Amino acid sequence: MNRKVDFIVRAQEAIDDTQLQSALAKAGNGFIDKRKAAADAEPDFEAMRDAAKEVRQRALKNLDVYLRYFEKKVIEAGGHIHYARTPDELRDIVIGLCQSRGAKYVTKGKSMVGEEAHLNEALLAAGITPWETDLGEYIIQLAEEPPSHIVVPALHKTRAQIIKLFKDAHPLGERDLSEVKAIVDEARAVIRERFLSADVGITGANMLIAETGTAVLCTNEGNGDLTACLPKTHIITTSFDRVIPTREDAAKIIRVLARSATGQKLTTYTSHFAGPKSATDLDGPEEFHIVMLDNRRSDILGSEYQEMLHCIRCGACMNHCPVYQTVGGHAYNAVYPGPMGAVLTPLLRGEPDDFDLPNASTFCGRCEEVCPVRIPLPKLMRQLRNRGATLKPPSLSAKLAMSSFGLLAKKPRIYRQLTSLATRSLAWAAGKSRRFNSLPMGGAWTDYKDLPAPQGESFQSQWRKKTSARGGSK
Amino acid sequence: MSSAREQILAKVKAETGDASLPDDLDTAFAKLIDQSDTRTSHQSLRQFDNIVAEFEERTTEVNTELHHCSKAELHSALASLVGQANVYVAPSVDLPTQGLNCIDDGRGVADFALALAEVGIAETGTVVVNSHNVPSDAMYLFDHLVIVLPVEHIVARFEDYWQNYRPADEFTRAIHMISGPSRTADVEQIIQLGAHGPRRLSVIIVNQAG
Repeated sequence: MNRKVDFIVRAQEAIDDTQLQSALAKAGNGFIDKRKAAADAEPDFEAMRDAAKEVRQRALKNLDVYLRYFEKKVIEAGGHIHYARTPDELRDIVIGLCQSRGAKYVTKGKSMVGEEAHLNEALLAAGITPWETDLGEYIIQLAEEPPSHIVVPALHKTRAQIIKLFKDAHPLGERDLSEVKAIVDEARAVIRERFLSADVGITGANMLIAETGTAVLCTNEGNGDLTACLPKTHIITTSFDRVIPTREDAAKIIRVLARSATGQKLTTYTSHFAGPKSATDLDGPEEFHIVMLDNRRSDILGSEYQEMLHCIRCGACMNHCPVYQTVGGHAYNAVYPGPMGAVLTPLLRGEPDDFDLPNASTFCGRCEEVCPVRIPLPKLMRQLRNRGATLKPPSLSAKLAMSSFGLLAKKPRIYRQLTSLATRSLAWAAGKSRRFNSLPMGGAWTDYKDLPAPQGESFQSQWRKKTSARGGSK
Repeated sequence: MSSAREQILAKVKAETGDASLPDDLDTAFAKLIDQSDTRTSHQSLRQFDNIVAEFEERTTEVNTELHHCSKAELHSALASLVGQANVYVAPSVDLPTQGLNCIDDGRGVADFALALAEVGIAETGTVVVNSHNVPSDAMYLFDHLVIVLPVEHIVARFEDYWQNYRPADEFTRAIHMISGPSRTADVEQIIQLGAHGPRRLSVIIVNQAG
């Protein structure tokens, strides 16, 4: 019988993967500490979060106007705008644009919408070579793996694994790559040639400004800018929930984006692109295309999940998530991992197994606490758990357990007698050690830690004694 | 069958359309902007005591190498910074470069690129260049980028730049906001300068007076 590979199985495999665990240990609490330092250093940080949230709410409230205005401005600037209902349609549009321009090689900046559409595989299948240019994306392209984090795609790779990937792919001979600088320099040299020879550049966008038809790109490496500016054609794969009204609104978002993501005050490069090269420009692409993906976002709009569209993709929720920190991103088997992914994946992809992901949470609430635009992620996960329960019939044993509990719970006297009996038997069975290191049918717990045996009387019986001693009043 | 565009716009309209807004798109957009405090809400953020000092502190934090000189001293400041190395200078930039080894198209042969900033932004130590003044590739393809910033063009916040320097109705293909040299932390979260763009960034703040 084929073993069903679900989140539980993948999470177990992730815990057993020593390389992954060593990479996750290296990451440790680094992002948490950096975000905290950035937040502590900025007296207005909470006000900045409120301002960013207000932008996201206002942008979605009248998205109809802002989206059409953005479209108008893109066209006025000499750009083109395309719409894709599904990832399939996005792939067709991008490949069509590349093919009609005779493109053989494409440089790519990081785009999560591109990941949603599995664009690289589609480009390869169409005979076009995609060259990832962000160092993290380049590493995972060499490894033929998807990203495991939305900001740090190769978070799951150790330095030794990266060196091995480079040695296998580049003619390095005996060159020593043990220093991080040597790895970065090698990637810089290889990718520099690609920047200069690519036919098309494809990037994502962090924000789309309606007022000016501008796409804003935030990067640290400078790869996004080289991808956007050097080739003759620049294609931006994005989604309409990135549209915000004004340039001032973009300022309000970038004030919290990098602080929440990496603890920087701002990414090294924040670039605003509008349209192709004009008569007054010294360089730039001849063509500028925006490809706008829906992929069920229009279903989220106006629903009880609309707040999820406020997300600005900083990654703070996954950096602070004890589940993500333990299993990494690949266990989620989704483009978006962590708490935001646990909400977004069932909504965007909606496969039955995707509804397991909202269960991958301890509801500790840290994700909501650090979300720069204050998305109530635990609340949204709870709603999705409810929805998941109606979609997927529960197992027979779960059904039995729930219905017998239901029966008992309706009869408080029998319930109390049974629980009191169980408590006393467990206490007796545990004996002096007062704990169990194995229990029949309790292996899921006792394989990992001891179960403390109940000690003393139940709360209810203690309460009864206490109140009767005080005169019996309720 | 309707197109993807029509379908998506229709769905977005169904969820967010507001019948009380004017039908004309420009009027509706202008009305929404007027109703919001998008242009002014940044005024409630704290004021900097000294925006030049704030700029200097922030820009040093992100590994920018900071220099100061007067307008009269700019030539010698540039000369001492680049020495006899090849320097790419954007054609439209008016800077005192006599005696430097300036070249027109420096891809691959110049060590330095020299540019004039439109503004500096104090809150993040950012310098801003736009594609009307400087070709984009000059910002990224050279190992050492030198940016000249007149002190009177340092503003407190991003909004001050947008509202005082760049009219919204004037298209600018590219505006590059640069805060320090290019960097990556994709290998074990260790910060390494010089990812794909410049390895070093020098900003020369020029005082107008003597």
